[in-house]
Amino acid sequence: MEAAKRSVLVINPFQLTALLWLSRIETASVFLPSVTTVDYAPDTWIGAGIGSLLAIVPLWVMGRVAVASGGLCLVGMAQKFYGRVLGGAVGIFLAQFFLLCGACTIRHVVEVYTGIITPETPGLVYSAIVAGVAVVAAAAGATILGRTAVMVFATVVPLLLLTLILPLNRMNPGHLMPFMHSHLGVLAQAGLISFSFTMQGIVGFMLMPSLRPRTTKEVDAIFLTYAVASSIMMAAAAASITAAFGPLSASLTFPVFSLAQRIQIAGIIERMEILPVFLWTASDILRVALMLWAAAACLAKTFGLEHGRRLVLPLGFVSVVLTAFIVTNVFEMLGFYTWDLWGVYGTVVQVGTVLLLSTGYLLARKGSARRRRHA
Amino acid sequence: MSRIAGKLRLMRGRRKPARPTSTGDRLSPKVDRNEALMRETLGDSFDLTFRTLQPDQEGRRLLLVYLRGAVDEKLVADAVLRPLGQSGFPVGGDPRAVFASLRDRYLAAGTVETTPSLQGAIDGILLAKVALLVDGVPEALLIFLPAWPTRGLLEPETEVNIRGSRDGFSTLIIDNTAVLRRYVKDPRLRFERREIGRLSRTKVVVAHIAGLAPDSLVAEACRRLDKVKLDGVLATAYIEELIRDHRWSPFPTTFRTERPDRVAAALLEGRVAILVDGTQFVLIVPAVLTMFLTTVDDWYESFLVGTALRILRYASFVVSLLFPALYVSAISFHQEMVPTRLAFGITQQRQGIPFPVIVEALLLQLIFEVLREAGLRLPQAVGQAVTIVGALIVGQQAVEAGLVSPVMLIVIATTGIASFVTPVYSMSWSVRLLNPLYIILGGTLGLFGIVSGLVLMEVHLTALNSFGLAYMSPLSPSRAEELKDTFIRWPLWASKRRPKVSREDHQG
Repeated sequence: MEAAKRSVLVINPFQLTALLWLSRIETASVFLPSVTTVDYAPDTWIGAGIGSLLAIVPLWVMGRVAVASGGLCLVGMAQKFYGRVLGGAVGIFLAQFFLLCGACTIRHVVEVYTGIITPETPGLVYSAIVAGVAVVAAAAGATILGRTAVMVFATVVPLLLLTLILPLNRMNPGHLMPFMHSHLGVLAQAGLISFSFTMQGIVGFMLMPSLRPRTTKEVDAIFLTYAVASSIMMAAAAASITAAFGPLSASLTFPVFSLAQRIQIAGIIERMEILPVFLWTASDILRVALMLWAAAACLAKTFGLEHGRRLVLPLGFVSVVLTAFIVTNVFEMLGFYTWDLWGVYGTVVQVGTVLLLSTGYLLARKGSARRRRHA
Repeated sequence: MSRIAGKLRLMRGRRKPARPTSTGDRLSPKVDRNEALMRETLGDSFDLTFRTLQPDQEGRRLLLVYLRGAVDEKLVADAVLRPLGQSGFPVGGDPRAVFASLRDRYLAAGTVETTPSLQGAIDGILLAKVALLVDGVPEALLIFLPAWPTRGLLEPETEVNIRGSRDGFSTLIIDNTAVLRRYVKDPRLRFERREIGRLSRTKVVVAHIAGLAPDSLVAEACRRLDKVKLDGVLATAYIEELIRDHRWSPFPTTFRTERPDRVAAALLEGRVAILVDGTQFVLIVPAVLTMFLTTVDDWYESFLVGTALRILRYASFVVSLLFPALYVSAISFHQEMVPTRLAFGITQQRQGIPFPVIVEALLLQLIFEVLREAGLRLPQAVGQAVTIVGALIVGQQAVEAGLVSPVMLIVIATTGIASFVTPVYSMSWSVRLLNPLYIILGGTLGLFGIVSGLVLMEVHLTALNSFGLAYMSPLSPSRAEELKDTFIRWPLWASKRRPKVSREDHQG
């Protein structure tokens, strides 16, 4: 029985990878194509792919620091390097950041459903249900979250591939030409958004204390494959949309949904909107659960609580309330995710966290080396 | 003890039955006294037999006490009475020497025990033993000569197969352990016996193969069984409900089977089987979800056929769980999902139907369940007739009366037939419990509701454990080696390792 109780806190590398990949599907298949195609450019997909790949560097650094610190979470590291008060401040800041990410995701589900599927249903119904299911998943603990992620991942990834592959006959590679035609600014904008989305993977470091095994090799593998997969997903989604719609993509609110509507194979399989709907709902719920769990873990660590499970429910309520105030409609939501707003904000917060913690680690190591020499 | 007696008094509406004051009550050296005490304790049951013998010319009596029907009287004659008549039987002399001679030389039975207590003698009689008392000796010999009525090894009715053995378990536990010995002739096969039920005192056996089943698993099974406090254990289900994990879950976390080959296979995998006397159903623990979607036929056919069967079964499982919900959701919210021609056809058929599609689905599902239950409970011939009449006549008339649409009838019928593909009855019930919930989710929230429900179900399933083993293993936590026996049936020649069932192996 003791072993069973202990297992509640354990997550393995494959589960963490699945969880992180799932959390990217929504951005890859909704926000990024929507945002990057607002100003139509045939090669934003290159910027998106490169931007995600660049996230490898800070994630790799963070992974090394986390392992060297004995597998502490982000807040644990901040408390270790900067003391309880400053570390607690970092914890509260990160909690609000993760909560905001979760609330934005909920808002996205609301917009998708009320915007294009069931406009007559109040958005609150959707946000309450997504938050409710996510709360149940997050409260079940890291292990259950990881195990569920593997199950959902196995279902969702084939659907994502189908969504991108089935409309191949509707795509025109000519829309992607001329290659590297856009100026650097367009690529940089797409790259920054993509980078900030992929950097959300730092949420995975909140699960570091539960990760088994937790060697440098494992951690590197998790975050490197995550960044590469994110890069491929984002580039593929952006390229598919551009290839399918060309200049028209700039006028589409949810291009991947429109892409699925264009699926037509042999007159039998047609209008497969069900694919992205399934994708978004399942992956969004898991993403919200991860964000809620991380926010609760940040607060629990900050205030010295044994675990944050009891905080998950109130945080779920807060995220539903936040959802109502973040944006008022789908266009504002897309505006929220532009390169100069979320791109800059997300990058500053996430890269700032990595810089802060890695600097703290270096200072602490230097200090301990000096103390050893004195001793 | 007094509480049990009180319950007995309440149940029977009689005075408190005489019962030895403690289990340590010693037998009297006088047979008459012992007989009187036994009559007082056991009452005037017609099957209770007292047979007095007086082979001793000095007037020393021997008393045989047993339950007719529970004991094989022919064996009593052969194993007890005939040896007493043999020449050389010591008559006269020290009664203790007579007692010892009987025990060691004359009684022709395999199991002969000695008890000095009255309670022990009574317990023995109730367990189909013959008590033999010798005047002058304050002890009793208990000779095991059982003849419990049994139906023998029955063909399993709930787990029909095509190519495998037709052997099913019997209702007699000793037959069941014997048949397992026949399947697993390994000296490490262990049967740990327990007696559960304060009044029924049912024999329960924990079967495992030492060295294969983790010690922690065997200890956990025994610990849970020891905690069972019931007056009577009349079926496996009594124990199942008390020892299972997650009692509120609609999914079964113990596996119930009446097939010895299935139990033997589970033992060889390192699982533990729990046998209960009086029932042909045996529990296997730990149980995981994938076990409920496999049959022995998967292994009795070639691996290609076995794999095809499994894929068919998993698909049917999904259909039986989600098909009506998806249909309701498509008709109510996502008409664009339906191909145009089909959508026109459905709309045409639904014209004049007075109920919304969600009500129509729930109503038909309910009728189907009623028909299925009626078919099960009625005698077989009548049951079949009711099911056919119900399905054909009522369905046809309901369509003609404009109460339901033909498409809905097809959807519910397909779902019902698909649910029969689920090979284990308890899992089939889980699906039937969840099916209406998904219809409601699909009918009120569309695909969003169904997907949310599925994610919630996956969270629930992954949170389940069966005796320390994750219910969703080997899918999640994943174990690549064991995936060979899940959606596919890997060839036997390529399956080198047995699944790991110890909890330590499934962390994370």
